[in-house]
Amino acid sequence: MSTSSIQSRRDLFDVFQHTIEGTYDELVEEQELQPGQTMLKTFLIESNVTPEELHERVDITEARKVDFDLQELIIQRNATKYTFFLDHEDSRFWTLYTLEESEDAKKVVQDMVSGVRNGLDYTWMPIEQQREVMDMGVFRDVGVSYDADDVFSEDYIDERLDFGDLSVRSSGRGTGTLFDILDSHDELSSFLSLSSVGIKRNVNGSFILERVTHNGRFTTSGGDSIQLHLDTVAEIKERYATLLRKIEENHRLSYESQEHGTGLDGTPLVIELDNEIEDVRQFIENIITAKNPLRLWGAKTKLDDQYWKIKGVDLHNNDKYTIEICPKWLRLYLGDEACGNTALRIYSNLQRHYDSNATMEVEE
Amino acid sequence: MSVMENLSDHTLQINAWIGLCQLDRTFPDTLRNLGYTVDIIDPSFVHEGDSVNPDLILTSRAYNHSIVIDCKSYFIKKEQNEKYESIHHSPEVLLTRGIVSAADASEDFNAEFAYSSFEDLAENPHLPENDFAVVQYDEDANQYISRTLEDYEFNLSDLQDEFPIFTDTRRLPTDYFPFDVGTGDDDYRQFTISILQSTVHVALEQDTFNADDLLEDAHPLWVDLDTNLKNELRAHTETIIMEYQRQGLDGHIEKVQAGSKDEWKVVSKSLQALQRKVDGFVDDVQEKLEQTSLDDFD
Repeated sequence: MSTSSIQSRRDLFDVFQHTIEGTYDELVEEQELQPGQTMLKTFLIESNVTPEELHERVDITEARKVDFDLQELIIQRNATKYTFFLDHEDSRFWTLYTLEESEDAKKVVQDMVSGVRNGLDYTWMPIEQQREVMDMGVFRDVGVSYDADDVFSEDYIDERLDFGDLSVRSSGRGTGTLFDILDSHDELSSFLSLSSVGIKRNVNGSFILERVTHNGRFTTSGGDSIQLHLDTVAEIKERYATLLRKIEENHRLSYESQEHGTGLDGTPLVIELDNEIEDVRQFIENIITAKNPLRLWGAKTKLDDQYWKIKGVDLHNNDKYTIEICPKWLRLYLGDEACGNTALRIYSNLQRHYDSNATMEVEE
Repeated sequence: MSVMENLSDHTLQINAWIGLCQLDRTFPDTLRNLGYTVDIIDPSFVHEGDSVNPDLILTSRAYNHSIVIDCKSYFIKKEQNEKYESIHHSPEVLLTRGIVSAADASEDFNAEFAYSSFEDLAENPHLPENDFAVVQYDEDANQYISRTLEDYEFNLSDLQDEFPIFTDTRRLPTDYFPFDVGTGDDDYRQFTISILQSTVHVALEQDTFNADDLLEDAHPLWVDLDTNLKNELRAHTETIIMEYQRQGLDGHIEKVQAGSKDEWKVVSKSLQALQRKVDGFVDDVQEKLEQTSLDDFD
């Protein structure tokens, strides 16, 4: 696709408007897209770096300024070039648009965020926020993906968990009912980790079809208003940004040197578990491994048989953390320079890989 | 004595007091509800020619009131009583010297001194006959019970009315004040894991580092410690560094330092190797630090 005619935000959004109208028409009429026809993908990225620093993380062969705080980026991966549009008007939360194939786009973004201490990360939406997405429109489809086997050993799963891997995907009529039935089932509800939520949002006669994943990827399968898509992304981003801001304002411990001693501010976060841990030591040895997806390294000490403390480093961004953990809860301490996204990553990954009913209270 | 392992009673008490001032669903926020915040940890000042060094001052702006706390194991010294008595009876010195900062200087201010212990200090022969508060963290099968001893209660009635405080858990918070080293209540294990944590953290930021870099990163009160204590902590940190060099852990650390190519794979692999050795290493170092301390004492 030639993009040289895109010289402003308006031009870009005009292109996207045609795209979402076209994909919807094809899907309604033909049930599938034409060869080469793709859906609009939008990624919300949490950033602590400048767009210039992005060049150190991925192979950008061309960068063109399109409008204020909007760049076209040609990113090379495995000798193939991919086109993205980076909107960094919000310096903390970048929006990255692309019409590339879904799997290719996901891999390029994964390259961006998966280095060590690289200052970029996904937006890790807790299940509560994904449920709020359901309420933004008519519920169309849902993906449930409980992936304990990404974190826990086979032995641990066999001995301690009811599921190692649980996947459910449902769309169309009855999806909401199915989800409600599964959710109301006590033995299942801790394992209903949402991976994506699909909605049809209608506002003033316009509509948009969105699928939103747990890590901030939007796939727009149709609609008649790009503005409604932009508004949907903005609303979800604002909700996430507010949560992140509250964590950073209230839940980072800071020690301030004073003339006669040291002052203390901030309070830890507590994550309460519905799926109680049977053996805390074994649990720790499965989650603190310096491996994907949690990327937590740490040294542990026993406080009592079922109460342990871990002091470690989050290898996504090199933030220090301390966790105290017992069967019913984890207490998470973050340092004064820690990124709030560290807490949300740990929390949402626990929901995804261990207990979807885990809850975390954030001080207002 | 507390049932929690690998942490001194002194450190646990400080954490328990701070915990009572915090919002935390797993621990009571009784003092927070009265407006108390952590005004200052480990304050140190001179009053009437004597050095005064309690553990903690909590201040409520709502009551314009501070609690000056000294966490004890069992022993109480007569001269300490005298120092604290002098502060107890002229609390305004805490304001005029700028030691308390969370109170309102334009209103009436009051402060009370409190001893705190896991032991029952009622039988302690040096317990002064004055109006200090004495708080015991007693325990039953399920929780700690923070209670004031008879005749040693807080003068501020709204504060006293909150006692006894039931924690509903024996799992106290431990990381507001993560360790105490060099004061006789040595949390060598906590100190070692904090230094290890900082070693990885600092190594991911910079190519070279020394004991001071690690201590600055690991010790929340580092800037305010006196020179003697700093020197003692430096010596302990050097012991940890020497031991991880002797055990070959430095190779894993060097690999994660800034500038490595193919970062995630290298970092992940190196730290997985380190992770496998950490538990044994911490055991060895704790033993060495305890031995060093005993040798110094002898």
